Amino acid sequence: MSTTDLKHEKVTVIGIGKSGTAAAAWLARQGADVLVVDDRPQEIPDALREGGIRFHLGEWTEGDLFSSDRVVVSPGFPVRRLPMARLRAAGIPVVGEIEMAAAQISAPILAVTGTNGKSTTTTLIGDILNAWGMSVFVGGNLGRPLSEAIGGTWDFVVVEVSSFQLETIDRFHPRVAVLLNVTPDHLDRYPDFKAYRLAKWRIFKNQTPKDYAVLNNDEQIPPTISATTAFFSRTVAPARGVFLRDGRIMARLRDGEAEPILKTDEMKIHGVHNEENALAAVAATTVCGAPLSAIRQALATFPGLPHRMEFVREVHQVRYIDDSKGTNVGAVAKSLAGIAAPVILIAGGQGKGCDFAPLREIVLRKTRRLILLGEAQAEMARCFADHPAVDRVSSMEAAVATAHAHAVAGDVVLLSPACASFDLFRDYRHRGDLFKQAVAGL
Amino acid sequence: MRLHSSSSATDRRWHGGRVGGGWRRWFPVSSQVTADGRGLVTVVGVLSLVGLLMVYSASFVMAGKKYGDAFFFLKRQGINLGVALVLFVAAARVSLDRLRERMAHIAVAILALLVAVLVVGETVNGANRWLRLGPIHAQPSEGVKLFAIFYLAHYTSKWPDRLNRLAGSIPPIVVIGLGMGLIVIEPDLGAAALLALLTGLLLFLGGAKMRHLFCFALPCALLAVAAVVAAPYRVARVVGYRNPEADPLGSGYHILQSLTALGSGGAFGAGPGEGKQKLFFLPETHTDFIFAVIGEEFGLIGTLAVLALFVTLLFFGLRIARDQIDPFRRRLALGATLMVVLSAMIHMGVATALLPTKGLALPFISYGGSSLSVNWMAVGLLFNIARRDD
Repeated sequence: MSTTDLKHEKVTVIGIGKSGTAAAAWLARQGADVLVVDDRPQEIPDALREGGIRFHLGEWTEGDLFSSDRVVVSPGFPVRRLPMARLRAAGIPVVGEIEMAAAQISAPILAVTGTNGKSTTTTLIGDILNAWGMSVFVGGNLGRPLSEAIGGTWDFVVVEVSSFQLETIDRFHPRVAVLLNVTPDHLDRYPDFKAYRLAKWRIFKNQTPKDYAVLNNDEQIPPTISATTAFFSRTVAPARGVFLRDGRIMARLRDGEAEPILKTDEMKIHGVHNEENALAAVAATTVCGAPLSAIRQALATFPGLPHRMEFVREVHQVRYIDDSKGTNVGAVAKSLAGIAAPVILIAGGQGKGCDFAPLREIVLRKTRRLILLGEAQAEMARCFADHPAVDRVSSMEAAVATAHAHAVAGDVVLLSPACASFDLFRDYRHRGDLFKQAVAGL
Repeated sequence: MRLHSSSSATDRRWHGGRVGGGWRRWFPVSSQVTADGRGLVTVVGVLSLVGLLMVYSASFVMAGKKYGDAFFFLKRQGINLGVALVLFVAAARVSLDRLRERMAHIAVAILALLVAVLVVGETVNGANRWLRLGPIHAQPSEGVKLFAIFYLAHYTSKWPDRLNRLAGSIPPIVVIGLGMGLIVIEPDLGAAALLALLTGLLLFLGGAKMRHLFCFALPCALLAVAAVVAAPYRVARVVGYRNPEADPLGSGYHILQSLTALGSGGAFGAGPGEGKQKLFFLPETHTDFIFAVIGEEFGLIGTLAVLALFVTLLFFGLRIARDQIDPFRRRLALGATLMVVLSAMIHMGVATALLPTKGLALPFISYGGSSLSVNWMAVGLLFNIARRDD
């Protein structure tokens, strides 16, 4: 849609979260007649008080959709709830906020998706491009909504995209698309793992050979990719890509030479998944032409994001690590794999319909003790019935106290729940903060 | 070793591990070139063939009288084209990353050549523009253009934030300004002006602020005015081009003859080889005024066709630039395209009296090895950039 088309057009924006707000504000500035709807009754954000925007908050009907010329959907809203077939029949296009915004941005877009590590990789790519001296917008699913990038003079736009956002894309065309990994997650919203993976693969849908797809060599590769590929791998050296050799990150991208980037122990972030995130970020920025100096500088100073394998404190030679963002089986497996010491694992919460069985082998091998919390604790306890030491507790404080009581020098106490947080906590941040508080009180 | 057998992406990741040392480092195995790259080379190939024809047509009478061989310039231009094609292949295959690592060496070499021109160069028609080494006869000022676009693409994309400040524009302006100064001394004001125009454009496209560029453009403009005023023939050319009839046998002579050639060609032209202006009425027909000969012999159809070829070249060049994610490659593609197209526009502008008389070659068509080689190398760089990585 071109901006002139929007004048006096009736647009219904679903969802008044950060993305919906940014989208509605931009649409109103283009002269569109905007209606914002949301399931929850809530206060109107300051950004939307001008521009004659109308609101149906708390209660809205299908009529709000059918009376409009187009519908813009916020990332959090499940498209399945919309009468898609009838909207299509009525000629009313339904676009995601990310697709609407991307169409207005002329700078090359680097999009990052995957089950785990999206935010870390997106932030790291932004840091590398910044260290290079480029003017970069970093956002999407993380931080600022993509709509806020419209109208800016950016050299690059780096955007984190969730599988939900990818469901509604039609023309979204990232110049560099990064797929980090796909492990079972959100199976409460997808019929099966295959459907979830297909949603992730949609990120490559509109790419052409002039674009780049950055792929994890250690995972299953999407069968049809038109983009030029660059791989990253922890285990082998791909013909073109970024890989590990003797504890060093190596890049072989354009002209066939493998060049050392830096040693992994020079990075501040550690663990298997952080190594993968770093490899992916190096691959994505190298195809953009980022100089080695900028890549090295950013990797050596990037402190990591909170609640993602974040080191909290050492008490009596026991290290406490907050990995509250580890909300699915794949994330926890990678977090455990990256720790050499014996682990006391605090896990549990609200299950998302995933099977914990894939964790069995690594949990039994790496953990000395398992401390379980929340709704899923019964199911997890059943799964790990043969674990030598399992505790069931009812609060984060109790979990940390139990861990402290049993830890010996050299152990690692890891909060990596493999579940969502919405039973005992507001969100994963709240859960991680309570863990940190409890650890600080030891 | 293969993990999955049937997917095309899987095949790609295990094939073609291009490793090697020595010259392989500099000339890695080249890969598929996009349709834009092939289109570009087709256009330039046609232009070069038109060039051979026109160089022969424009020069056979003069060559026959002067050298006793009507094919004299055609033969030499054929050899020039051969050399240019070799250089094209080199530019299309060279590793741009390796070349960037050697930027300082290249800068020193180019400046040294320019100094050499002033010290041991050959003087032709009062200007000292040529270096001769055995059979090689070269005009280093042409090479400076190629260096300038490469260096500007490198500088603006390696330190993109430097151009936010005035001081950030100083290093490229000093480096290219040195080259420009040496070209002014030769003297070759036309080449220097084109270089200044290219530099300003590429700095602007690289992110330099307009007001910063103005700070450098002003002294340049003053110097240019001073250089023009210092030589009466230049004043006459600059003032005279709008009104050539005022001095038909002096300053207006070239332009009147050029316009006569274009006019007598009419819509369809006098036919190949039938032009009269080249019979000593219009000097330098095979170089600076070849566009006029095209107009006389092939008419408006011919000149429009040549114009269309350059517009197509611009189209392919801009598309190649647009497709690049890497700012260095994007700016190098832009620079190479602008270098060729600006030269062509100025040449045509001079021949049609839209611009003051200034001897500049029409890329790929005018006689001259240095111009032909440098323009083919620019196309080689575009071809190199248009290459896909797998």
